[in-house]
Amino acid sequence: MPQQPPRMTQEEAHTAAVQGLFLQFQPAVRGYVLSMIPDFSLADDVMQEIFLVVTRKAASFEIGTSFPAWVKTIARFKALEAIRAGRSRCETLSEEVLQALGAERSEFHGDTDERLALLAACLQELAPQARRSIDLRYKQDHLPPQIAGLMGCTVPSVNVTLSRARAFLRDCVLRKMDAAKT
Amino acid sequence: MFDEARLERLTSAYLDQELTAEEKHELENMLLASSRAREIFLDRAEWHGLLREQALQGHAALLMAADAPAPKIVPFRRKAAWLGAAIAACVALGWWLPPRPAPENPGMAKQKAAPASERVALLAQAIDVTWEEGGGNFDIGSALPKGWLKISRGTLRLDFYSGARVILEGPASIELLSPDLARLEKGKLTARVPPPAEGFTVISSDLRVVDRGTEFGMNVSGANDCEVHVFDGEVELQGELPATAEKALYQGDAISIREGRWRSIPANRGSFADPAAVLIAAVRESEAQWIAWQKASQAFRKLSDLKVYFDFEGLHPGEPLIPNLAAGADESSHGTVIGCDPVPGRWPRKGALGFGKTSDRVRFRTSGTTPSLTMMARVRVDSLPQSHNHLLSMAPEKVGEVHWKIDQSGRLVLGVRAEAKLAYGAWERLESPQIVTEQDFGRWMQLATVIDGEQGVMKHFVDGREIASAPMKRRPAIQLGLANLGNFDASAPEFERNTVRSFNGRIEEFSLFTRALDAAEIVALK
Repeated sequence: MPQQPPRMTQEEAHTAAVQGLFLQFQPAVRGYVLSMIPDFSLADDVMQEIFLVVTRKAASFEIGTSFPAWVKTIARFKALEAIRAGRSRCETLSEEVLQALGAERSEFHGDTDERLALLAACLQELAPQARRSIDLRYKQDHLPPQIAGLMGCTVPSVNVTLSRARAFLRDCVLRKMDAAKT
Repeated sequence: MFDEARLERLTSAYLDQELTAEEKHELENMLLASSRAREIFLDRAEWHGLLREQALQGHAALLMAADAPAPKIVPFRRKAAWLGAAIAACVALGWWLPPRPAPENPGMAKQKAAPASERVALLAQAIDVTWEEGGGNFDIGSALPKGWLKISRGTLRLDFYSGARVILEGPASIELLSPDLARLEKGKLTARVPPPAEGFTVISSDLRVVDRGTEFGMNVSGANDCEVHVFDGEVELQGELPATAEKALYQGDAISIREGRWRSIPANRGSFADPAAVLIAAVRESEAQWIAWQKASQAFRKLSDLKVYFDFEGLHPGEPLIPNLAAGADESSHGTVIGCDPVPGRWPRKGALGFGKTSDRVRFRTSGTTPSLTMMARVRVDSLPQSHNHLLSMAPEKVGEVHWKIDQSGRLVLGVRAEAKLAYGAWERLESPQIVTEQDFGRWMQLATVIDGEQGVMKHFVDGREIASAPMKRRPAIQLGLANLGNFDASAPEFERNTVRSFNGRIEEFSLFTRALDAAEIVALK
């Protein structure tokens, strides 16, 4: 008799579905974690811990209810836990401010696939200098002083370049999203 | 209310971990006081996360491309429980990436087009240059990709995209790293850096020479031998400097490093190429080439079976007529300029016609038929905006009609209508491999195509080199007649759609022979 492929149990299927939702909202969750912990490498760790909790607690999430609200609670908890444990090497905001930020908004954007695709296109439109600064910051995880060293310019000029490049990319993506709607 | 611009600045500084204690306090007060401020802050943080996500995911995609920059390896951290589904998810998320294999050949292949993001400078001048094996071999006007340039003699002028202008004197080896960064391994360079390009940096072994809006010279004669001379403004030295070494050099200063020993010396402008002298040398060289060309052009006119020859010299704006200079040609075969403007050719004094508007063309008429035909043109392709960019079209709708064009992917295409019917199969065709990449835009090249009706073969040549040939299944007599240079007549019913086929670029010589030139003749006329 031919062997049946092992079938996923209902519980496993549910967990996979919840993990899928996590992937969908991952950039928004990452942004939220980075708002509390600007350090990429600790934020990466916290993201992994959030993923573990999401997997472990998947059963307690009811499909059809708000995943963003659910995952946000977990993300907030794990980020605060990391901050309280003193794991952050960089300055974080005071707990009072983090509380206020936490109460601010309950939903994450779920359209990140579209934003990521448009962002890739907009990155191509950046001036070479700005593009390199963004690459060094986000791909290589360098901070402005290191970027200044690598590019042979001053830290304030890197700050301005990064800040303008981000504003440009944000406007560019939003413009393209608007254009796609019409 | 709060100062929104200030909030943006502070948020940006926070995300880049640049906040001072006071600024952090100021940001916190803003966030506590205003819901709108919190909303903006969270939005910017979310975009920050999106950019990081993009970078992490981008790495995974870049692994597919061999030329990609080395991705940072973001390893798993701790937690042995991370297996199974988590691993699959992580790979999908791009958190864990294998290291990239080292590139096999750091040199540049001339024929291979580098992606636009890899190009960092323009080769503005090349005087009396001999390229070294594996050190590139670029024409003036080429976009230079990242990588090595090695010359055993001569002088190059590199216009970096940052705005810095570098004159490199051979023998020299330089590695172009970015629009504002280069590594000088050997040779002399003079860099002129206008204020917008401030920060242009040249590396040599352990030393980084960072320009602060100035002009400086650098001479590297060995791994441990280097001189830096400042002719104007200021230069900053970075790297492993001796404690006593100057960190900044000003106008008139120079340092010499020999075997690790630093010594201050006076700057010596005279030991480096004078930009004005380089310019004059370039003008002299181009003048000499132009004069040599004029002489060759006189002889060219007398070649047998030359039916049409335009040299585009001495044209004035608004002057409609271009004389057909082929020996014995009569006035009726002169060309008429429609729209095109006179522009410089390969050299400042050489005349050419610029084709830009979709209506631009030169019209001329010849008559008769011929079994064989050779078309030659010296052209500069500036872009390939149309799916068919016509160099020439002749005798529309007749059997023996000729289309000579570059398609949008940069291939040289010949079409000879062998049958009257309106069908793809009615044409004899010869397509070359790609001869024009984006990197070739703005570069002069000589194109030649031969239809040999006696041998029954078609051939394409670029700069004297045969690049494609194919037998003819049918051998229609080539129809001479109404011709358009740089365009075509869109009157035929089969061209109802897609009828804009204008050429974008410059043409500085065009000739048409009613015989098949052989390869040796084409090389000689290159």
